[in-house]
Amino acid sequence: MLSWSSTETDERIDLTAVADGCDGVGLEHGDALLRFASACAGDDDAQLAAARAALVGETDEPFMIDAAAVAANFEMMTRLADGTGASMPRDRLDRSATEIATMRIAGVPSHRVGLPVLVIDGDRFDDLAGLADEWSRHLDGHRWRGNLDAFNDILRGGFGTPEGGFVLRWLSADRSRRLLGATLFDTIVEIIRTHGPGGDEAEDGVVLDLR
Amino acid sequence: MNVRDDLTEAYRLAWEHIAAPGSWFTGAQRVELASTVQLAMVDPDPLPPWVAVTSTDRLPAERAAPDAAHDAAYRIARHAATITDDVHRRFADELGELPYVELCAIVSTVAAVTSFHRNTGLPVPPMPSPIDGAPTREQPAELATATLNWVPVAAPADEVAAVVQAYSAVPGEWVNTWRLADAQYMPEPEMVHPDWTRRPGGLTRAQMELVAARVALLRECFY
Repeated sequence: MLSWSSTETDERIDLTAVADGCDGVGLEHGDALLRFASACAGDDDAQLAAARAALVGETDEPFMIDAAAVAANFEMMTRLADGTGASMPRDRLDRSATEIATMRIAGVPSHRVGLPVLVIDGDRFDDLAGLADEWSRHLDGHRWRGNLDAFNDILRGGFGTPEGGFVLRWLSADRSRRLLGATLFDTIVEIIRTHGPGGDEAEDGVVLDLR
Repeated sequence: MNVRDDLTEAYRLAWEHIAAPGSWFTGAQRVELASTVQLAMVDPDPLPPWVAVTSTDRLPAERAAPDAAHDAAYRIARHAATITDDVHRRFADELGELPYVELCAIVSTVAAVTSFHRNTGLPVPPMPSPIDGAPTREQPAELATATLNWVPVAAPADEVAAVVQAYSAVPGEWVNTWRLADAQYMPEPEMVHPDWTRRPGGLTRAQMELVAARVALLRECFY
């Protein structure tokens, strides 16, 4: 809708700036709006207050209220869509391929279309060596021996995992966290999330699905 | 702060709606579930998606609504993007498909009211007092299986967008949700107009979509 509305009204929007949350969006008041929207969806009340004040300072209070209402609407709609499994028709997805790539959203769990799923079954191992064996089942001619730096490299691709991203579904994750220890488990999860939506290497498209 | 009358009224009616008996939950259950949604949204130490809130001591010990409803409410409120069809089926098997839809609507309604007040710096209104009465069991004359949603919808399926038909199997929730959307975003008939604005000097359509896109992106909502 963002791309459509801006195209129809001859307004140039930089979707990469929207995805990155940085300045240079290209709309009037766009940068202040983007900072306000980011803060609305965040947990930092002080940051939200500052973004709100900046938006009011640049526009006026009714403008900020309208923006706050739109943000609230999409807090509503995201729960509606993801709770009920709402998806788009295939032809609409195909038409939006460029925007999906630019916004780097193909890998989000709620895409619900087509990413291959690799399963780690937490009931099949009790320690890091067992996890290494379980994960190595997904590698083509390679074996991971439990080194975390190597694990990080593997998630960048080239070791037999699907090109273009995949869902890493970890079954019985609570059991794994108990047996591996919270520190190690959380470190592994953090590494995986680096390679997925919102991570520093999000382009690898690794979507973690803990169950 | 002068909030538009239509917004104020939509939020007042939303809270009144939460307090009233739904199709499948009583008013007391709905208000209790709404409290769980608020807890999830502002929880300073949020539970990870795989931990059921009812397995912790974060909820009152005495509860009117089923545990599965509280667990689903917390998870959808805090981690909506992690809901898969398997997760939906697990909850729907315990609660029933239509009660699950009503639950999603309770979550999304509370998310709207809570977010707007936080976004503007206004105090979130206190939870309403439950209204007595039995669930109405109201549902459409005919339900259909959708291809664009996991949940059943009012027949015929898939003739409107997935988000529009999502709550159609629980008519009261559908009405409340789209009343909120009209006030917060835009009236549905205006959706096709790229140059629609609520008032002179107000957000342009592109500015509205910028806010929408950024919030949806940070919520990892593909739709």
